[in-house]
Amino acid sequence: MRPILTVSNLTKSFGTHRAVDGVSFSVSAGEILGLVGPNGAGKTTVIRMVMGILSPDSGTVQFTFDGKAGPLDKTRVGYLPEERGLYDEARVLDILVYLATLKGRPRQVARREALRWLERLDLAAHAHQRLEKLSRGMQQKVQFVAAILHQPDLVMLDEPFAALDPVNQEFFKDIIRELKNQGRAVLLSSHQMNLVEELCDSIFMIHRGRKVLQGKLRDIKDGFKESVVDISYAPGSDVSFLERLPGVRLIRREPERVVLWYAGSRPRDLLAQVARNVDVREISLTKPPLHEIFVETVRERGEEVGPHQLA
Amino acid sequence: MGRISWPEVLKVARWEFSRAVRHPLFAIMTLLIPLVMVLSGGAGLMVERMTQAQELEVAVIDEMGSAYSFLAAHLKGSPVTLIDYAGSRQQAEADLKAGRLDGFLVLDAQAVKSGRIPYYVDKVRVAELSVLKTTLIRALTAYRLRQLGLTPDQLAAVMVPVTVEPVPIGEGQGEPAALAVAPMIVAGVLIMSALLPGQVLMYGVIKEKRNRIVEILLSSISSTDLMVGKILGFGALSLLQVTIWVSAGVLIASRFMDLGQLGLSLADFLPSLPYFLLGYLLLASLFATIGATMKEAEGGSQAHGLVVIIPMVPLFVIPVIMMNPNALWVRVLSHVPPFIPATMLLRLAVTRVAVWEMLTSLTILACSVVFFIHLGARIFKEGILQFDRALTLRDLRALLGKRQQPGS
Repeated sequence: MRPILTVSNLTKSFGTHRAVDGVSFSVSAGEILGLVGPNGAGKTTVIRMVMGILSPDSGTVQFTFDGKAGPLDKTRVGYLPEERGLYDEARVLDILVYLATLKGRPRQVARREALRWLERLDLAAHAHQRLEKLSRGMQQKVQFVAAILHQPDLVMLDEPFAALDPVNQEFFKDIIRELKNQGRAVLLSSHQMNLVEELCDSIFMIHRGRKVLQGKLRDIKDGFKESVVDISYAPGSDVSFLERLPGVRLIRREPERVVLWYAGSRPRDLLAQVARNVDVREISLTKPPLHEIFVETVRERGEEVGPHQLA
Repeated sequence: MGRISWPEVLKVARWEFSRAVRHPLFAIMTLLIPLVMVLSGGAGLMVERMTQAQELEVAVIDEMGSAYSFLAAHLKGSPVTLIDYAGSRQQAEADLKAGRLDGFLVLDAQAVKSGRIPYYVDKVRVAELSVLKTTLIRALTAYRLRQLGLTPDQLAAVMVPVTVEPVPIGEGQGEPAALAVAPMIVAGVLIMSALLPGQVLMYGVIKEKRNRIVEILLSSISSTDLMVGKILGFGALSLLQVTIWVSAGVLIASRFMDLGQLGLSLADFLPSLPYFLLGYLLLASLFATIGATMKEAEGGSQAHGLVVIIPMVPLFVIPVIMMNPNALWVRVLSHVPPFIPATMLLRLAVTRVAVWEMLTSLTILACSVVFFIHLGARIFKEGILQFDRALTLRDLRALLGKRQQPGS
């Protein structure tokens, strides 16, 4: 499928600090690309450059709408920034209509669609209330709607799940999936990799402004050499032999449970050995979560990820 | 500066206008300012009328014998009534202390000769003294001339008031008062229209920066469109406010005076209008720019003072400019952007400014408006993303030195 957004060799420095260094990726219609990395990795800077809010030092950002390549058409892009806020003292419906008209939506159409969204979000009763009267969760919903009300072809969501309660997280995830199914391209930036993993088709991992990993989520997982083996066993079993097996690294040991990382090429042999020597109650062999893949890959590059960066 | 998209500008202007006009502060300030002006003006008028209406009874100890009757006849019909006091000075002082007299004058040869008439009062009241002075001076001058032997006819001839009336001998009929009044009215309106909405504009920008909405706005429109839209929105707000004030002022004034006597017509305002419009745009773009560099409203209010004061500097030297409206330094000042509106409006009030000077000053003013909007939009775009701090001079230098990307 033809990409809607193509970013090539994007670089940006602030003083002597290189915030983004040679980043390239693309997002196609009907695809969700996760731009993932810890806090301060450069995700927001990339998005701001894509949105034309920051100017890149070098590199290009190209958009292809209706098969024609060209510069940014702001009316066809929806944006939910990381730093969020709306007009506190203005009425909810007025804000939504104003922002949609700035995106080229006719006023009456914007009003109709805004009311429909508010109905769906259970906020119809608050349409004529000042935003400041709404709870924080309600305000976040309004902000989310403001980003997609004008039916953009490309949606850029910067940390959309930050500070959301689990109910609203699920709600937002549903909408993002819906956008994908409608054929819209979604660029989703987040440091919450478990949530990204549930949603994204492709991933661009970034750390200290540079690419860590990039590709289809399935390919990244399949390409990662290690697997996680989680074994629950009956009391009395001796699992100490596992640590001595080639390619095995013990991660966690609990009473009647052990979690291993297996980097060998013959997982079937490992499972057979376990089955022979241990009274297994439950066993699973899976690829590690995105978060672990990220941390391992960064470590292999000789870099560190502070715990606060992934918080 | 990127190309301005007027439909986007108008959307922003409409939004800013409708938001501000619905804000309670607008209604409060729009009503409060004329109310304060009416009350203070009314209070002054009331004091003046009370003073004028005040009847003053003054006792006179006439040690010359002829002064009282002359002065009493001369002051007939005036607010001051003289009473011939037959007692001594000590008795008069006692009556004064007892409240039986408002005050008394002692007229002797020395006092009349020196012109220093002692007026004894329990407490000095400025308003009373003023009434007494204005009425008594003419009467005493006449009395002194009479003492010198002038006949009543000669006295009447001497006492005819002297005035200087200009008589133009050229083709014109002289400058009508309206031509002088119109630029002064425009200058006053410019200050009033720039002050409050300018402040609201600046605080609005600071608030948008603080609550992060600006990033959403800049993802929809260019920083230039946003800034121009805001300036026009608040311009419309100013215009509405000024229209309300002027209409109310005209309505109230027409109850007390015949406004037709002023001879003001819309045409009298035409030479001043370009300075008003461009002056407003200059001030508003400065307010918006400063708002974009600030983090807190407190810093903004200090900067607001500066933005208001600098263009108003010529008003601090009004007498000097009015005495020498075509002096070289005044002409130079008329071409220095921040000072152009005030200087030119003052000059238009007192002299005929050459057409070429109006054209050059307007051209420079228009160019400086474009420059400041351009500069403001750049600072706005960069500064507005600095959410947690105010821009420093170093930041400004760095961003102004940067090459501007197209379409931003």
